[in-house]
Amino acid sequence: MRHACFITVGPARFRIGSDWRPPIDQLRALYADYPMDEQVPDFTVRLQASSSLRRFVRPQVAIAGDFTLPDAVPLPLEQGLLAAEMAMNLQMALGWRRHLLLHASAVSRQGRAVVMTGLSGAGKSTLSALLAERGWRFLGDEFVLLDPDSGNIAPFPRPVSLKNQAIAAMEREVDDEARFGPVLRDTPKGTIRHLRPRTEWIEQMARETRPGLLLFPRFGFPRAVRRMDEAESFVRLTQASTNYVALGERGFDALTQFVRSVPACAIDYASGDEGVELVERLWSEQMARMGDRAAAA
Amino acid sequence: MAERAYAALPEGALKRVRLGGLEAIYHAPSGITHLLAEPVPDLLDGLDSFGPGEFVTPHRLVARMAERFDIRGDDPAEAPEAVLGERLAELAALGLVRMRVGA
Repeated sequence: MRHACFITVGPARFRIGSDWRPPIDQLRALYADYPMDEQVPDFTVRLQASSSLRRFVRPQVAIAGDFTLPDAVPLPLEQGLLAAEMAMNLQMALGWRRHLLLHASAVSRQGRAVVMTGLSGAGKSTLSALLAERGWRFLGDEFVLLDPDSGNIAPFPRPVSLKNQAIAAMEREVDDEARFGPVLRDTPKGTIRHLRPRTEWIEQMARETRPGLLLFPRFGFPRAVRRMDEAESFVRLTQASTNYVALGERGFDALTQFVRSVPACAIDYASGDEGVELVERLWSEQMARMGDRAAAA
Repeated sequence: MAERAYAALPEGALKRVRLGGLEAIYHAPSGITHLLAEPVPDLLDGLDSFGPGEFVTPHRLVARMAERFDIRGDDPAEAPEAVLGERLAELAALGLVRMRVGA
């Protein structure tokens, strides 16, 4: 590869190579606060021309690397940053075995994490980004890494991938243009702009956290809260995990332990502020219950 | 028709965890997870009580379970052994119990 950079996020190390310079420059800028030591990577990603001519004529970026999808459609070079992000996600989803991977976002407070999962577009990324600007520690918006041995969550605080109307909402919230990546228009998911987490959450990304609450948020619906039982949470999380089957018995142990140890709720909310308020209320209630149990013991 | 008999799997083949009103069962030989409702966990417990490798007929299993449960079918005309036999055959098809046909 003509151009390359190394990026460490939480416990995972990536080497990203590219036929072109701009995607690497954009990655270096977006990941400015992350370690970039040239260590042996866990995964190698390559952004390469879909054909030799495509390096020069209307360049198109094809994703290659340790793990690939055979039918992935190349992206235009202007979306090279998005291609790199998608490729890094793909390596984690298909190749990571040290943790149980949940497609979820997470934030924490007082050493306890709120894990938020749901279908793509349910609002979990934006909600975690909002909470991270309002005093919560940001642990990740794409994958939650659950340690099968300890039951802890290892932070994986990649830049938040903001989509469509979430971009303007977070631009109002964050008063630091340097933390935003370029605006990527007309992508397969609409307009996308990345937001780098606050520096302190990146600096603390080696510190694991105990899970405390599991939420299934849905944005754009009238406010509602529904308790979810262990069995339903378990089924939903097996569907939200990219490596549950691959981990075998370790995955089963980790997930059953997780759903038995944290209460779960489905929450619907109509606005970002309402979502934040709901999370904080449910969090306070859970902390109070844990305090009561500790006092009773 | 030759009588069918069923036995629990060897120790360690199933990992079972109670999740509220259901039971999550990890089947180690296949790596498949099952989520099953009552009375399946009780059937598995009943077979377990004979020990792994001990094949028993649905009739014997009903007798053993009747020591702990009040067994009554929804349909009085249907024998509990027949209903239990159907459930056991389904579990055998999933690989969660062993099945033997004939003596």
